[in-house]
Amino acid sequence: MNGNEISELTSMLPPPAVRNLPDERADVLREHMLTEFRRASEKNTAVPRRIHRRLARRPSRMALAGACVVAAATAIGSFVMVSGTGSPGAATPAAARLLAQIANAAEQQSSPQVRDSEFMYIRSEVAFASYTNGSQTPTMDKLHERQVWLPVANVCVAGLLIEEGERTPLSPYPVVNGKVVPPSPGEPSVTCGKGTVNGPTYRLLQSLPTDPRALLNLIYADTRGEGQAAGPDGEAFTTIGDLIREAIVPPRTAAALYRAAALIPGVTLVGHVTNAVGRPGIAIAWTNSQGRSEWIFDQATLQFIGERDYDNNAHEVTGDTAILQEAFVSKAGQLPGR
Amino acid sequence: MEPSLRGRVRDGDPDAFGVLFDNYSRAVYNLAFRLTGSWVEAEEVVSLTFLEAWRLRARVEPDGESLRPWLMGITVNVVRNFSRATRRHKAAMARLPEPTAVPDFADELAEHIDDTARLAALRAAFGRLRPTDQEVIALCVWAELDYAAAAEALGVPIGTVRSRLHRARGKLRQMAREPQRSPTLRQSGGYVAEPGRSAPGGTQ
Repeated sequence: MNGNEISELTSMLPPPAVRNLPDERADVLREHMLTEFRRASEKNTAVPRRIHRRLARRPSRMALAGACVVAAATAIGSFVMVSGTGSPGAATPAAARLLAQIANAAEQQSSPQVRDSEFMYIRSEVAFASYTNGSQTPTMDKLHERQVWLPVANVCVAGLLIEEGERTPLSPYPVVNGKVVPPSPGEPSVTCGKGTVNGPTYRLLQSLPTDPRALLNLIYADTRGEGQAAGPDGEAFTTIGDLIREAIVPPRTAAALYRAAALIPGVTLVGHVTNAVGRPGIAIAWTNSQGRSEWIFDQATLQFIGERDYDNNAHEVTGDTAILQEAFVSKAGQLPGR
Repeated sequence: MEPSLRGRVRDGDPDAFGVLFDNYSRAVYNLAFRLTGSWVEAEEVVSLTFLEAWRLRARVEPDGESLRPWLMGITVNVVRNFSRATRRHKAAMARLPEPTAVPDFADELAEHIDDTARLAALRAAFGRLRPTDQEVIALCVWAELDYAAAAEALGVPIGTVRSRLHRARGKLRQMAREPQRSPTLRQSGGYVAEPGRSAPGGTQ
């Protein structure tokens, strides 16, 4: 489960402003590069005059190169198409049936009234493997409690993580000495508001398309080019997993996410699993050469109750979680009333 | 069969490098800025990265997916060995037109950002990590490569990427707890070495 570690690192080390090379300068650099390379390839491909004349009857180098560019553009275009829409096919019939039931159950949940100033509170038990000193063999953490408070409406409002006795503010800004360093006025580098698919708030989740195909296309588009090892389908599964992992998902969005997952080729069903605290469930899984990720659902209520990751190479469980409590509270650090 | 982009890069087709530049120069530029903290240096790193990619093109496997991880790995190496890369491509870099002398609005903006506490805090924390850990963060967190792609880019096993990230997280958590030290200034080559501590290598 790369997501947690990466998102924590991101919160501790927010990237500085993203900026494009000014167009004119990019053109200068590009032209300089191509001039250097043409100069180099002319030097390397200089051929004796006699042979050169024989080659002259073939299409010229430049014409060939031009044809290649067109071919490459076509190839790249179709690659983008593929990664924009995923592979043909869908989840296995058994997985699709279960996901349809899970989606229906999610949709039946009542939609809570939530104020912008509130926080999502999620309490879970988690254990993840770490790989120490470059070892290929994972060592599992001890199962421990994890509590997060995430802002409902604005990613710039600091949330909070309490795990293993440590309190870590969660913020797109740097955290120094446990305090968020606020941005200077007018600083453009962090976009406040409801966030993105890769860093959502409750309001963002509410705004996602509820048509499963539209939602999945948005996820494919959003994750395009990322996660080369997993491929677009694996990346889409992972993204949906990231969205449901530690969040209160609005009922209609949850239903759409599960229906979208049913459209991803390679998604399978795993029967008879238990979450990290031993609650029995049934799982939806994604497998590749590295390992398998499972979303676990309660057998009776079909609610999401945790996750499990399995490393195929080490033949060990590398992630094991159980969701224990979810609620909206008015302040970060506040526990829900009973 | 049409030659793939990889195949054409490998064969030294300049136009294939044009395609690479169009697709990835932005990613290279931003990664370079994050590692060096300087937009001007980042621009030179873009040129050096593509010059290095040309030099190393024979190592590209004909089959595989995006060349982005490969270029990100070269970027990290160029930043790490900035002066060596500059020396190697001295002649080509001498032919690179100078940036225009008048700073544009964006440059002023960048200077403004440089002054903020936010960036200082970031650089202070980031700069105290081992260079090898900085590279893994740059690739996995900022360039958004997955663990396997970062491992490929850096030429290390995937377990090493995981353990470096894990170590960096532990160090950053620890730093968040301890009293703040004054930010260390950036030194040549883009990395900030903690005083009294040997820089590269690590014990992997």
